[in-house]
Amino acid sequence: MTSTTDSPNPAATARSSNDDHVGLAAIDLRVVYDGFVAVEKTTLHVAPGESFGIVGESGSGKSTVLRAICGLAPMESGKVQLIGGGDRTLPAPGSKPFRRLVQMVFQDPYGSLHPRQTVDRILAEPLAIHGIQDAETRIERALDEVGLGNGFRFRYPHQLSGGQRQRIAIARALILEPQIMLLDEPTSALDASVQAEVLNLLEDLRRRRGLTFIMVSHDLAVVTHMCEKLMVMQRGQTVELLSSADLAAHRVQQDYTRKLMQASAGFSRDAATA
Amino acid sequence: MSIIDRALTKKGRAADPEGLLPGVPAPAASDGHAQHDALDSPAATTGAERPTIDAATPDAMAPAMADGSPEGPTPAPAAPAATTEPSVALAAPPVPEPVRIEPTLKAAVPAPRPVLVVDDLRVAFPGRDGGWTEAVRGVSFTLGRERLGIVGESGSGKSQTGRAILGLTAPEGRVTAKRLEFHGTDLLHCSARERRDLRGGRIAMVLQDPKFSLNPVMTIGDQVVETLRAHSRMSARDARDKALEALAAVQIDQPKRVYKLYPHEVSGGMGQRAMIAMMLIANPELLIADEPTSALDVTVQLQVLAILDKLVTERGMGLVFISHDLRLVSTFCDRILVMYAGKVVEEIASGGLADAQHPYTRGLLNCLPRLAEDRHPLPTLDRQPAWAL
Repeated sequence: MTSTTDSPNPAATARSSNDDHVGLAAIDLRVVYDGFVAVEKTTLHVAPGESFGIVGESGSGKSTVLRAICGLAPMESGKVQLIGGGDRTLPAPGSKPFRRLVQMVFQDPYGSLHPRQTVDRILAEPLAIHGIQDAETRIERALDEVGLGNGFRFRYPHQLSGGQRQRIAIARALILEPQIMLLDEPTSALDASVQAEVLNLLEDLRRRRGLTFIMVSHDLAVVTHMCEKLMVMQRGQTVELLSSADLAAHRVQQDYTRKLMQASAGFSRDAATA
Repeated sequence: MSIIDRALTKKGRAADPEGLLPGVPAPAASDGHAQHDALDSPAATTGAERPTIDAATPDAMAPAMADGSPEGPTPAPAAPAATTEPSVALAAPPVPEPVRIEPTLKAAVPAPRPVLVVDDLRVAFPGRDGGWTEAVRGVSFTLGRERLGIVGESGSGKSQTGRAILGLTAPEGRVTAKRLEFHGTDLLHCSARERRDLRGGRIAMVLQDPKFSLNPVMTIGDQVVETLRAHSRMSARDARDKALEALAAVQIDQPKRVYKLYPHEVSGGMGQRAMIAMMLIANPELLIADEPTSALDVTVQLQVLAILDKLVTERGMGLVFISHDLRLVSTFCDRILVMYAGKVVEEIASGGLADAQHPYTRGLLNCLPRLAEDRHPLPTLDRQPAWAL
C-alpha cells in the first residue's frame, strides 16, 4: 500500500519542505459501541501526500474509521500512527500536536458550524486552543484560501449557502496548517455544481500544501476522482483495497464492489431486482 | 390554501373551466409552456379528441423505451385502452404501451385523460420589504400515467412545485395558475375540505427525509393506519391487516416487527420504505416524490426506485419524481423537466440526456466526476444571468 505516491518528488530532491509531509497508518482497528462491532480488522496505510478514499454504504463503518483516527470514536484495539515526516519525531495520537496535524471536515455543513458564532469566531477558536498568536492575519488568509473574501468574516452560518458553509468548515480545518485532512463526505450535502467547486478547491489545496487526504464518500465517482487508492467497506470490514485506475477500468475482485459500481451507474430494472 | 385561493373560490369556479379568473395576473409567454400548449390545445376542444394527448406522451418516449436496454422487458400492454381508441393504436403501433389503465378505476372513464394538468403555475412568497419573491415562475406540464422527473438545484423551485400541487405551500405563500387540474378537478378553486380529501387519498407525497417527516412519537404501524382510516372507514383490525400488507409490499422483511417500531428505531432506508407504504396505502392515482432517495445509499436507493417503478407500471399511477440528481433521474424517468430559477428551462426524454441543449443542463451534467475519466480540475458551472430571465 505504501509504495508509490503521486507527490511531485518522492525523495528525489532533498528539499526538507517536501520531506515534512506526513502520512498515516491505522493497524487492525476495532471499534465497538455497546457490544456492536462498528469496525473490525481494518488496516490502512496512507503514504505522505497521498489521497486515500473509503467507500461503503451507511453503517459500513467508513465514518467510524475516520472518527477513530482522530480520537472521536472509542478504539477497543488497534493502533494509529503517523508515518513519514523526515527526521522529526511525530506526535502520538490523541496529543495536542497530533490534533493540530490531523484535522477533520464533517459531512453536514448545516450541522457542523455553531449557529450562534460568526465565521470570525469559528475560525478563531482552533487558534485559541492551540495558542497561536497572529489570529487576525491567519483568519484573513484562511478565508482567502477557500475562495471567500473578507466580507464573509462577520457573517453567521445561516447567512451562508451550503457551499459557502462547507468552505468555512474547510477553512477551520486548514487554519491550523494540518498535514492530514480527514474528509467525511465533504460534498454529499451539496448540489452537483457546488460539489465540483468544493472538490476543485480541495484538490488545489492539497497540491499547494502537499496535504494527505483520507476521504470518505458513498459516491464512487467522487472518490475515484479525488483519490489514488481506495478501500471498500461493508459491515465494518474491509471488502477490497484497490487503486482508482483499477476501479475505473472495472478491474474489480469482489462482487460487492461490482454491485456498488452498478448501483452508482443509475437505475435499471435488472440491477434493482438482482 | 391561501387567502387568495379562497377569494378566488368565492368569485366562482364552475363558470370558468379554463381557470382564467379576473384578478389572476396574465402570464408572460415563455418557452416553458410553448410546448405544453401544443399538448394542451386538443384537451380544450372536445372530450373525444382527448386521447391524442396521451397518445403523444407514450409516443414521445417510445424510442427511449425501445433502445434503452435498462428498461428491460415491459409487462403486457394495456390492450383494452388501445382498442377503444384507434388514435392511440395509430400513434404507437408495435412498441409496448407504457400507458396502463388502472384496474380499480373509480369512475369508468372511457378515454384516458391526463392525470394532472399544470399550466403557468406560480408560487410567490412575501419579502421583508413588502415585495413578492417568485419561487416558481410559470411552470407548465401535463402528466399522464408516467414517470415525470423534475430536476434542479436547491432553490430552483422544484419542491415548491410539488408542494403547490398538493396544497402544502406555506400559508403566507401565494399560488396562482391558469390551470391546476387533477383528473378534471380544479385544485386551485376547490374547498379546503375537498383538497384534504384528495391529499393522502388520491394524491400522495413522499417527503425527503424519513428522519424528519415521520412522526417521532407514533409507531410506524400506527402512522400507516392513520392514513388509511383518514380516507376510508374500516375496522381497526382490517386497517391493521392492510397496513401490514402495505409494509410487506414495500419489501420490508418482517412487517409485524417494523409495525411496532418507532421511526428512530429503523434505518433511513426502512423509514423511507415505511413512508412510501404509508403514501401508497390509499391507492393514490398521483404520487409526488420529493427527493425520495436522496437520504439513502445507492444500493437502497435502487430498491426504493424499483418499488416506485413497479407501482407505476402495474397500477398505472402517475409519478412526479423530484430530485437534484440528474443522472439518476435520467435513468429512471420517462420524461425530465429541468428547472432553473423557478422556470422549466428544458424538457428531455428519457435517454436523451446526452442530447440536452440548454447550457444549464449541459453544465450540470458536465460538472459531475465520472468513473472512467480523469478530469482535473472539474469543470464548474458558469451561471449566465440570461438563464434566469
